[in-house]
Amino acid sequence: MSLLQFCRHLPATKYLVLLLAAVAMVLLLAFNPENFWFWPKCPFKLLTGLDCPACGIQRFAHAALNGHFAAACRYNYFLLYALPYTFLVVLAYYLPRGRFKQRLANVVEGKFAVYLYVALFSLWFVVRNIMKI
Amino acid sequence: MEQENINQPLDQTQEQPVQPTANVQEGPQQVNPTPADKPDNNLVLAIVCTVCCCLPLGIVGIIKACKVNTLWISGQYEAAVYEANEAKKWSIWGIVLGLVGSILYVLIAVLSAFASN
Repeated sequence: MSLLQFCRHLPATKYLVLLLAAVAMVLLLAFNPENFWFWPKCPFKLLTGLDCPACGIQRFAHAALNGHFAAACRYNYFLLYALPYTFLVVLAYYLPRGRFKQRLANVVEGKFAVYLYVALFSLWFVVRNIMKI
Repeated sequence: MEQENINQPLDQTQEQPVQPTANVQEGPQQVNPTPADKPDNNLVLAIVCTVCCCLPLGIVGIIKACKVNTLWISGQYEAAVYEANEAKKWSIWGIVLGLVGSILYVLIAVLSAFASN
């Protein structure tokens, strides 16, 4: 299946999601979330005062998109693992049916990968709130 | 009491032979689902939910989504579809809660800015 055929068969909702993600990336590149009021604030943090495992994702994206990768990591180390994993899950979801999709999905959606994610997510949640990182 | 206990096993033995024959008749009529019919396990939604700061509901979604593939492979098709729908439900609730929460926050921030002026 060629790339053109693949693009033609992609449903509209998947295009919409890609478009929204692209818009969010451009906005994050242009506007620093620390300086502009319109960026969404984490409801969990507002309610509990705790940093959730993904807190810092907007500042992370802003810094990383502007090329300051080391500064980005300091906002949230967990995202170094979580974002590539999310990317692979999304990739497995977007790929056309076939052997590669199946093999990727078997790894990424397998019990080991999923429970590793849940375990690290919980561990990071505790550690970052104790150590204030 | 004793009479009832004696009667119940007798009733069950009479009913039991009827049920398997009914199941065997229904069995061949059901078309065996192919791998292509496997429901979307909605893991993407669940993980996006955890990354977008609605963690408890997202974790529930992830664990439910993880069950879908194994249930499907073991032949429990209805259970797989059920878990897939559950995963979708929890993740979407999480994402909606997160969005509503942040929109409310922005509204309150704007209103309080107006009030202080």
